[in-house]
Amino acid sequence: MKTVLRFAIAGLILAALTAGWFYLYANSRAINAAQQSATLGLLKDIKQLDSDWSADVLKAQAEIIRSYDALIRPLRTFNDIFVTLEAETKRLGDADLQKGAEEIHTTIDKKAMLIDRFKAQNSLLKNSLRYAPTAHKDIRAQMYSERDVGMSEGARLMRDIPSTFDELEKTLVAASKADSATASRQIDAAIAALRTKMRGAKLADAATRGALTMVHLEGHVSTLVGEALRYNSVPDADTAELLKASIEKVRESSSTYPASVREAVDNLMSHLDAILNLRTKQMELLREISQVPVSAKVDAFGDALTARFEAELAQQYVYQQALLWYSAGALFLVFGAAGVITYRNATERRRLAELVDKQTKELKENEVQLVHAQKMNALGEMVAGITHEVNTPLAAVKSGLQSSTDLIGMLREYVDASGSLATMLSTPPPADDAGRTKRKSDLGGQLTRVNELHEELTSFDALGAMDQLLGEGIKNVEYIHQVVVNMLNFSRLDRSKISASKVEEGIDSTLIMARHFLKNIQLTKRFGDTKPINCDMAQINQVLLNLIKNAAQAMPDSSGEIVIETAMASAGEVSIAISDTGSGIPAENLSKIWEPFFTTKKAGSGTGLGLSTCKKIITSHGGQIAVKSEIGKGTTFTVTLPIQPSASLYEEHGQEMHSQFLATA
Amino acid sequence: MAFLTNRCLRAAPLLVVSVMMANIALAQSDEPLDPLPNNLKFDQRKVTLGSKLFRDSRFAKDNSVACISCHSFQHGGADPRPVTIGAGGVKHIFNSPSVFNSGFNFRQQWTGGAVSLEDLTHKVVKSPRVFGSTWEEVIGKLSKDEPLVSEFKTIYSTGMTPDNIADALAVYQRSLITPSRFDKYLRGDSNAITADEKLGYQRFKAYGCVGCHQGVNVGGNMVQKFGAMRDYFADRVKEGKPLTDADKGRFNITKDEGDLHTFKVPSLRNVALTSPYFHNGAAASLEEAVDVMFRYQLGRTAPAEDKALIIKFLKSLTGEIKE
Repeated sequence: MKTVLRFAIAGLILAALTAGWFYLYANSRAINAAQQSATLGLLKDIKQLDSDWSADVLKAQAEIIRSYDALIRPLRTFNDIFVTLEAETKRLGDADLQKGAEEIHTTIDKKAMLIDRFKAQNSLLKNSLRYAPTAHKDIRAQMYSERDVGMSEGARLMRDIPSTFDELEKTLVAASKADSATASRQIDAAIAALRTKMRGAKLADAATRGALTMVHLEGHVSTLVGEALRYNSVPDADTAELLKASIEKVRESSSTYPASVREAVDNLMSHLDAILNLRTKQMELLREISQVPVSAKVDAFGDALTARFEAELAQQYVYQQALLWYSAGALFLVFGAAGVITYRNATERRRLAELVDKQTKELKENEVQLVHAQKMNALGEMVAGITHEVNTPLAAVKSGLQSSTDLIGMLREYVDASGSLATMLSTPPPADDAGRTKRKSDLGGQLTRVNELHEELTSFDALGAMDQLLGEGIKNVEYIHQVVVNMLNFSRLDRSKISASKVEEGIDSTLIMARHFLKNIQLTKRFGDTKPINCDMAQINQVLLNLIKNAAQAMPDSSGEIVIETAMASAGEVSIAISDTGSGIPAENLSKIWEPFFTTKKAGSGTGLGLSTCKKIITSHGGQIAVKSEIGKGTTFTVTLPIQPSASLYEEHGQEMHSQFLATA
Repeated sequence: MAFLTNRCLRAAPLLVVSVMMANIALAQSDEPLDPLPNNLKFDQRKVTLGSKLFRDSRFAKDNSVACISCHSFQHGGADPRPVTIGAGGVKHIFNSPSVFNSGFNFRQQWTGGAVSLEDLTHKVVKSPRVFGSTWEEVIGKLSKDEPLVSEFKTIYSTGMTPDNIADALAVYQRSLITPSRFDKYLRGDSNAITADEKLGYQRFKAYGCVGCHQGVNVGGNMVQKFGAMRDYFADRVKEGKPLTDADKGRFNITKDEGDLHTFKVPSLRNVALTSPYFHNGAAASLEEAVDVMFRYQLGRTAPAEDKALIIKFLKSLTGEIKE
């Protein structure tokens, strides 16, 4: 739980650091200089388009270009640019820039509106200018046709009047016959018709006269047109005033002209009026168009954009600096953390190393103790064997010596008696018989005693027995000596630790040591022709004794068989196989048997250290020990030893390899 | 996205150069009229899509009308009725202008109220006199049309959006151009039009019709006051026809007195097919329309034979629509 929390906190801190870094990173390169210059490019385009546009207006005014297509073409480009520009300012999210872009847009729209007016007015002005010089033709045509019409109409009406009167007469005659109401209505109608005709004739006559007076006007009109055209080329206010007055005058006088002529005159006057008005307006318009502050607005926007860009650059610089410091800080943190971790690791490792050392030492001590225990165990076994081996002959020696002591007592009596006899004989016979008789009887008595003793001694061949006893004693002492020598052989206490030895010798001395627990077990030796191996024989013997003892113990009824085989496992290795016909080792225990303290024996009957020590000894010799077991049939331990062990074994034993071993190796 | 914008930006100076070169080319032309360009390229996928949308009545609130309802191909891309009828049978106040060659108009609608064909789509969808709908409603209906939705997706990364619908429609409309015999004449084929038509063209220029009806679209590149030389609307009132909102023209858009009775000068291409004429459809015949133009715009009279010649010329502007 605590670990999870620690990981979560570490993760959060890392995430926060990363987020902070990315925030600074993003801000430190938020500015797109390409975008900026593209936008500035757009502004340049607007100005270029705008100035071309203004030039085209003047070209249209001067009729260098004949259609207004040129004046509308920029509109679409402007629209495209505005879409981009407005999207860009929206992206920047700058209200001032957005307003600036809108202002450019409205300014262009205003200019477009003015140009629309210009086009409308220019086309009318051009039409009027084109028409005015030819207008008098229209007027003249109308006048002549009016005059002709008037004359012919007048004549026709005059011609018609008599017949009209005839009709009136007929009507009056008819009326006199009819009722008064109908008659008077008919008379009224006839009179009205007559009046109309008379009026028509009068009008036609007037028109004729009017048309005739108009001919004089024609010259005046031409002058007026000339004035108007002059005004168009050199517009000045005074001319305009005069012209306006003249036009008004013509308009007023035209009311007296016939309708068609009046229309023609009025048309012309309208056109002249148009020239005056439009020309004046056009100048204003052109001035207004040229004064539309497109450039100023574009420049203002460009300045604002550049200022913003510079501010952003400065801001970006700040962010870059911050990023730099932040990164440096983060790196410092990372390296600091790495340092702390390394330091802690080193400390931890040292502590662990110390711990391991200590434990190794303890283990070694334990091991030494274990090996020592095993050694003591083996020693115990050995003492048991020795005791058994030595006690019997020792007892024999003891009893022989006891018997010898008895015999010596008898011999001493005989020797003493013989000595006394000899002393008596050597004494000169006394002078007196008594003395002589006494001497004679004493000598006789002593002699009998010596004879008795001699007979006693010879009766059981005391000297022969003595010889036999001493001989037996010597033999038993010899045997004891043998046992002691074997013990030395087994333990090799008398030699340097590593030497060339034949394993079979080791096996033999071990078997002697093991004799006491092999009593009824049948032992078979199959020794091969093996080479001597360089080894610590005492240790190897310990191994062999262990294995043989295990084999014997595997057969508690002591009726099995132990087979010991030796052979050359390879050119440089000797193998020793010790098989029994015991109960076998269960498969689940096979892997455990090499572990220290593992035992299946009854408590107190084994330390459980035997096989682990065996393995250790064999391994230190550079050899292997293997086991093969079948439940109910028996177990075979096979030890394979190299003829030349590794140098480490010598080191272990504080001994240098003899050059001869190296030579044979 | 930024990449795209960058590309657009880089393309802009090129555009300027091409516009400038076009100006030079124009300046060298003596004729006030220009032939239709014959090298226009369009994204055919958009044209196909726009064509479908142009005929799609789901734009109308009540699914009653499509674009084509008032821009009939049999009538030069215009409406034979004096004023158009929109969704729900609502009468418009204007006669619908021709959709043909409308891509060459500097603005759209009689008032110039739409600055582009795209803008026009946005306006007519919402206009109560046209489709009377909303984009939500239109998209709602169209997005149920799986094939249409996937067609949008293949052409536009953003799929079916109001802007993309407007774009497809605009591209389609720009593709609707009608090259005529007169264009061949302008390109140098002097036998492409008859002698009378040539005379008519002469009269057209001489009387000053060309003052407003000029450029590649024979109009459509400016606004002009209806009744420049004589008050058309006063005369209408005298005839007992009251003024309508439509009669205020561009004033409706700008609210500027200077724009009162001002209208976009219509293109005269296919004019023989687009009767009735004027913003209110007041002139039933071409003859009538020409008379009104002479009287109120040119402020002058002309012999009947000249007007007849002009009409002959105007008929040579009838082109062929390729679909």
